[in-house]
Amino acid sequence: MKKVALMHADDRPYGAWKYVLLLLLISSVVLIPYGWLVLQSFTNPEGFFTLENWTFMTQETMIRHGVSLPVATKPMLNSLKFATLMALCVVPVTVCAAYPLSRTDFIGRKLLARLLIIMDAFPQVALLTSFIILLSKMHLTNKLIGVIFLKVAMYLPGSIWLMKGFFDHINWDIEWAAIVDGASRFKTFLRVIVPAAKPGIAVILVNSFLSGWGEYILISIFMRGNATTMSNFISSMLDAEDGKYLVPAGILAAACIAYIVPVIIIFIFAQKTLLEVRQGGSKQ
Amino acid sequence: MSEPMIRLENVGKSYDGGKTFAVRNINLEIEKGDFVALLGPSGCGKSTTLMMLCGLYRPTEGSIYFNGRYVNNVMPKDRKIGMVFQSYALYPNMSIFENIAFPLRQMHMKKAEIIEKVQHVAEIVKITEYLKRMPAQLSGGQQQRVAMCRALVKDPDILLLDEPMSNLDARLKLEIRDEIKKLQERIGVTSIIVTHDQEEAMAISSHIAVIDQGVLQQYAPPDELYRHPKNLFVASFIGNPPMNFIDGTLSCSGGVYECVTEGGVLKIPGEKVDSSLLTGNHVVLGIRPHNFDLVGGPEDALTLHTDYIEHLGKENLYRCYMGDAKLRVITPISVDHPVSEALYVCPDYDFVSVFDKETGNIITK
Repeated sequence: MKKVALMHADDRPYGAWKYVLLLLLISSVVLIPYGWLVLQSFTNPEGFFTLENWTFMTQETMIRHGVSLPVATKPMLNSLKFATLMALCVVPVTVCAAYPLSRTDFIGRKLLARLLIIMDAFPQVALLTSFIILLSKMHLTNKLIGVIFLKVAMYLPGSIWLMKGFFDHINWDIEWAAIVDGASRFKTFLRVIVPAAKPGIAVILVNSFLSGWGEYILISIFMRGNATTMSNFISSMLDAEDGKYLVPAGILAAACIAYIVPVIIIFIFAQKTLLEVRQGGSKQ
Repeated sequence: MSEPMIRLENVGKSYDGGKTFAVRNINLEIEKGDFVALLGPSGCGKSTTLMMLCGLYRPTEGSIYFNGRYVNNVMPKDRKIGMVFQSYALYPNMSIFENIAFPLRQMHMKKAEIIEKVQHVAEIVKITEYLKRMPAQLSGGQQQRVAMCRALVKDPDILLLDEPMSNLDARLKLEIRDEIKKLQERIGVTSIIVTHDQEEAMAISSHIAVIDQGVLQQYAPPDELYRHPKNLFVASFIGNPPMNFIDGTLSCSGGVYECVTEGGVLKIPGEKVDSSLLTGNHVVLGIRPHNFDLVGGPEDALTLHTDYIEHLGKENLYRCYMGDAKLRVITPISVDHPVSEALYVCPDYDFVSVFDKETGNIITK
């Protein structure tokens, strides 16, 4: 395993701080909105520290006269359910589909690989009409499982392609060794290849979960109601009455933070696996 | 005669329905206990041959027999072989113990027996202290030993080694080379090693099969390859520093062959040359750098001009030219010949090989 050589702080040229400053300035375009969001969620309109923006987690929030959003735990759980189910569907299908594409030669392999790339590039919205027909024929409209079905189908081509790349990088030697050692093709796949592709599988798992967590378009189109998932919940807060927003900016910011925090938690837990690039236990 | 351990009969492997050949028409017989090296430049087909022996590739032509049994269609696991891969191919998610036990587990062996066998083979290869570690925690040489263990644990009839030392540094390579050779002699397993390093092949094996462009060039013990290379390719591939090649024209007079070269006329004893193999009178003389004697004058000798001298410590290497041809002459360190003066050398005729220029084949006995 090669150690990646990093430029040590001591070896940096003098005056590098000027560029660091410049880069920080450019990055501020991204950083400032996040900072603003955090500040906003903990301040009241008078500019003092407060926790009352977070009440949407425990009580209903009024968005129009007579219309309120439910307690946020429900959309939170729904988002969690949506994202988890999505990841659980995507990972096994992706792994099982990508392996033969990477390792075996069969009729139509090249065509299939090309189709994957094209399908990955299709814009979701262009397929909406067919989605509507499909879901209504399957009696899955206004059901979370129906949207998950669509979302997984849309997500698979890209993830299979990505996973194929991970499999391509696994040394053939280790697969051959397992076959010579007497393992069947399936056992080789399960005991040797899948463990070796673990970081890649983790990437697919986390990415598909986050894609499900962030889904908005399909949910807002196929699900009725204001608070099915968190994305939906937040967009409902932007509902205006007579050109006036009833939900204060502080609450909106707090809801956004609540939507972001689980993502950060996932990254903290997954980063070790995601950063791990291990290859066959060999020096190459 | 009894059936050899491994027999290859006209074995070939082609791709694209016979358009490109990786290997063609290989005939080999390997006796039990032999240590055979498949030697050749990269892309010559030696690895393909090994893959066919282990059963991962199926030959498109010919037949392979293990102990008289036709094995073309036998799965790798049923061939009683152990294999060591270039990258060692250890399973990164399993401990060293589990790596070595993997082949036994596939045979559904009893737990106690597995532990006993792994312990036994680990002791032979001296890696008992690492059994609990993971592959990533071991150095290259240690990983190599583990790979040997895994290949040997099921008592294979044949041990296959695919460039097992190419990932090790020079010093470790020598050490592991000795160990593999000793181990092979001790357990007597018929072994085949693929390598592109002629020195490694010479050092480790009892027989060498030199392969070039998918064709077996010569199959002989190392000393025979060195002393009597069958053709120009083998002659140029074996030996370091490489053999010198000198173009010449051959004529026979009174039982002695006179060879006219750019640097002088050499008289080759008549009984050495098999004239029936000659197609014309153009030949190539092959003389190893060690097989020159320095003489006083240009009669019956080659006149060389020294380009520069490499002082190698145990000997001196004169880099010379003779017309357009470049030659290497090795002398004892006691010789201190000035660069500016012409160098007269006479080859030791016992060690001169003469090749037909047209066919490239040797014509000396």
